Amino acid sequence: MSQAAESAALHARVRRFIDESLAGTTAEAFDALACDVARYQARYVPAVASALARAGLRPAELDRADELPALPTDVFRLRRVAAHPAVDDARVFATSGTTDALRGRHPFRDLETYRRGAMAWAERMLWPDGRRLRVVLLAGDEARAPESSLSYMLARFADHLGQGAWFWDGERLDVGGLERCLTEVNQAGEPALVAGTSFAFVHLCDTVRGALPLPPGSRVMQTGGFKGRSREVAAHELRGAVARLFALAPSVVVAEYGMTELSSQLYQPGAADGAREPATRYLPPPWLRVDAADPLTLATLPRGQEGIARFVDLANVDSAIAVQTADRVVVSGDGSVDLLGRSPGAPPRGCSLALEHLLTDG
Amino acid sequence: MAESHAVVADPVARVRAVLELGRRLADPSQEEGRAARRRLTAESGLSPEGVALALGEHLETEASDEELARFVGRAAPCSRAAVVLSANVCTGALRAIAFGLATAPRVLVKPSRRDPSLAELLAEALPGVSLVPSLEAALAPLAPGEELHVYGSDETIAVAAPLATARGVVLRGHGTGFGVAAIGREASVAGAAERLARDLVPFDGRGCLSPRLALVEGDAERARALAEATHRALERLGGRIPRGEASAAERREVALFRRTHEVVGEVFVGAHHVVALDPEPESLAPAPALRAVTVAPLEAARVPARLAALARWITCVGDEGDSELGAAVGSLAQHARRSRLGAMQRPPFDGPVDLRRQVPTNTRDR
Repeated sequence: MSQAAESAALHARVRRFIDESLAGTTAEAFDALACDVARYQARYVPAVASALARAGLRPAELDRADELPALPTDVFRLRRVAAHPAVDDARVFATSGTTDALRGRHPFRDLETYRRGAMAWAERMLWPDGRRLRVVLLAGDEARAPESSLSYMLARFADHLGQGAWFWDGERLDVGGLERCLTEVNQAGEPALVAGTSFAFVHLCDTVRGALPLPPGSRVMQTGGFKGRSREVAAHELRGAVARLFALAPSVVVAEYGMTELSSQLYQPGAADGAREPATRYLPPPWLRVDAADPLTLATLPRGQEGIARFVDLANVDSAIAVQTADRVVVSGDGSVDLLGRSPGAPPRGCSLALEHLLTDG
Repeated sequence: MAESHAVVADPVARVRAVLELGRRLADPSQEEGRAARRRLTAESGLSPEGVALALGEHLETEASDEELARFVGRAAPCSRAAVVLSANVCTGALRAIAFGLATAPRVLVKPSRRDPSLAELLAEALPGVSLVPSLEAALAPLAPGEELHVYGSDETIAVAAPLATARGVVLRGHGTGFGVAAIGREASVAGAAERLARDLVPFDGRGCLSPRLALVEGDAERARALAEATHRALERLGGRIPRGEASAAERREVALFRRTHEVVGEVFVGAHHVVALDPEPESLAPAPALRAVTVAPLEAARVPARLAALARWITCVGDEGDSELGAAVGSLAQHARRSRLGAMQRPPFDGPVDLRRQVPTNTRDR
């Protein structure tokens, strides 16, 4: 079987897993599918083959997802992590940043699995009530930001829910246009999904005087860190400020966790049932397993212990199924994740001084 | 702490007073030297041997008249300056405060929270120098046109810039940076490795002059030989000067750095260091702190393509002489210091350690 045929067969199995796991019908065992993807990657992705060899693991003998060696995200900056040649790339997502050589890249041969998973979990976590929603986006649109996985995902939300309106031009938030749009949404009484980056929401909260009330049934999705593009705001403070701005309950202001090197996303619970949840708790979809890893050995830790986030993402069919980040987490027995802190991003990390050292006494 | 009013008018005399105090701090037979060793060992994260190395060999104690003239000449005189210090280099306070005193007779100093001792010892002894607890307290007394010097990460400087600009204060930022070692074709691998190790050990590699990248002219085998020899040299040095305590974040960074290079190349791990080899670099990744370095083969002609993205962070280029590779890196990072390998952490006392930004940060397009 050719590489492309193997890839296609695995994509089909992962898509079936996505559908069946959410439908509650019998899904294939996660570990078996993860190990089959890892065996495929061991044949075609040199970085994965190298990681397995360093770990002393033979692909044929793999049987547990938690033993798969995870590739640190920096590997995506230093090497092409893909089973297929560049000529077969359907899209390459890249980490944010203005310095091209420092950006991590995640090539995709087939985006349908990404789309299927992103839409299925967003539907479960953001619009489980099936309401018709206006889509208002505080992120760069897909045409301006073809390398942004976030823009890709939000564009698919807009495709599904209706026409989306974008208010971030890559540099600035169009506050005036956004105010006019939200006023119209409010007058029409149509609930909206307002989605975008955390720094865009901070900018909006800092700029707008008064409130921009949204109709009942509206909800907000905010994602990502601040990347030096706005002041830093604690997660619970941002959630409260956004809720006040839109006159919504804080429970329907939901954070998403995603990253370029993954194909799947996590969400805070809340939009689905209005439940009050800690601002740090996230739920992964069934096709994404999160574990805490020991920060020194990178070995998987028992549930409940603090470590750094290690992801096994079945939807990463053509890259690396296991990805290691530096984000600090505690993973509960039910698989939910407490995100304790995100890592500061790409090197270089030279002389450094934590901001709190600068801004606080002593 | 109340500001001292016993100021000295001549900037050269003020800087000489700092160097004189540096001599006492460097000398373990003096009370100041003993106090510095005791306090830095308790708080700097370095081992006692690491503190002794820092104070004995890297603290600035001497300068020629010519160097002093250049040092003072880089400052823009005003009546008051404030200095915000970082914690990475425990002796860094001396040169930073000296540059503050070259600028103004009255200097407010915000020490690092983690590592305040040297700043405190200097402020106790130097006329015109006062400690303040925060950036806001450092800025509050400054009038328009007076200077704020910030030593820290680029993010730190980005936070300080609007605050300084709002008050009309001139900001000189000394941000994120690292050193690059260039091992030219003519250099002896064994000798270069010894000298590279001597540049990696001071301050446990946390300094903005510390080499985080070692580029080797030649093929992957030559780079591997350099990596292995550096590993052995660091083993020997680590036996004499053990690495100190590391923060959880630093250990996490090193663990991920190690795993990354296990995947893309090879790592040489010792009790006190990590040397990573990237034999076929598509993109170059500087190592984190803690005596870690990335070694990669690179021809001089390939320097612009491979290193341009990192050039603005390069503070220092160390090589073994007039290598084509060192010249190529130096021409890319034009404001970086040029040093002999083995002396990267002992820059002449001719200005701030970091010479990249010698015009006010908040008047430049960054």
